[in-house]
Amino acid sequence: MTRTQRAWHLWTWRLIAPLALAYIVIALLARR
Amino acid sequence: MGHRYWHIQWTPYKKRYDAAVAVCLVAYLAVFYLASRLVWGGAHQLSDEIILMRATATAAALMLHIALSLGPLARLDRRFLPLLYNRRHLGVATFVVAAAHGAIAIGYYHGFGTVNPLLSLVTSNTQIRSISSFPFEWFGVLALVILLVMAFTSHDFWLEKLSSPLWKRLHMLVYIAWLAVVVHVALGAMQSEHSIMYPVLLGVGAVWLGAIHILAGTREARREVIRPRGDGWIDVGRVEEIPDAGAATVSLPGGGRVAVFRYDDKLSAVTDACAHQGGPLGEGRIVDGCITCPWHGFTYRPQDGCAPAPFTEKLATYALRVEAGRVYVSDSPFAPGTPVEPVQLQEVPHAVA
Repeated sequence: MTRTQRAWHLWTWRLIAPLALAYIVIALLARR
Repeated sequence: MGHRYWHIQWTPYKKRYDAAVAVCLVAYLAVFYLASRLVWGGAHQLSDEIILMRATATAAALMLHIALSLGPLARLDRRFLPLLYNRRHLGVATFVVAAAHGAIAIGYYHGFGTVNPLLSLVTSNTQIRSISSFPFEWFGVLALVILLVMAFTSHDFWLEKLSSPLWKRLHMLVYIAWLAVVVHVALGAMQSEHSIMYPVLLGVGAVWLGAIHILAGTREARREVIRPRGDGWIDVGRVEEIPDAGAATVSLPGGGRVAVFRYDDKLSAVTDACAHQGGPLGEGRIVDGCITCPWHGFTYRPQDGCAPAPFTEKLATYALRVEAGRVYVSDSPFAPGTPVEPVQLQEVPHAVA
């Protein structure tokens, strides 16, 4: 794996994991 | 103009891998079905379609999480490497199960009207201003389309045609597919059923995947420290720090990485990036005298970086020296496939402390 690929893997998850968690909480609060 | 037809290169290992995936999947679906029948019996009885829809949905979600976990797990612990070798097979199986879920859902909810079921799927609900009634199916379709493209191109033919960087970028879309699945469940099942299991399982999945990816990535970044001597040689570390039949990797000042392999009391150095898809060779092992890439099992002779016949891939090789038990690698590569005499450890005094 190149340095760019490694950085890409790392930063994608630093971004999308909290995004997914935030989304789950929002969807949970919006439940009727 | 014609294209060469490439067979899938079946090996006994691939067949065992696929058989294990199939057995686990069938067992999961059977247990899910029976458990659903037991839990929701009597007046609350569920239809077969609903149970199958849930069984395939949870199976596909679980398989997607497993497929996404294999990369970082293998980087954190080599024992997971065998599961990584044929991750593509698991990916294709995930698509098949997800497609079954989609087909059952479309047939059940959209198949009995006058509108084309596929058209009905994307047009019957347009409440895009609502969260609890949002057309969650759209995200399921997005995830399924991404998995379809990935499954369709999960063959070395497409890897060659699309080029390795583009193929890898295309397959990184799986992260978007995962996010789409999370939204699909959060807006769909989580809204229509109030079981606490949905948010809990989704949250656990997000924390787990985020944690292992960040942990594996951070650990790798820490190994980026370069120790140049200033004379064209890079310090790799002590000989005994290199695992037998394994490698130590070191970054080069000009970018890129070298993997220094230790095998049969010898040392050889090649570039860390596999010629197939840039896989981390240094995380692989020497199997039957050849460096074996942890990603797809491509093999190379350590002494010249050449794949054994009939394969033609070649890796850049590097000069090595051992001084006072420390290994040093040259910071400039030889042309791919250049033979380099391996360093014999028993000839070097104090080489092994």
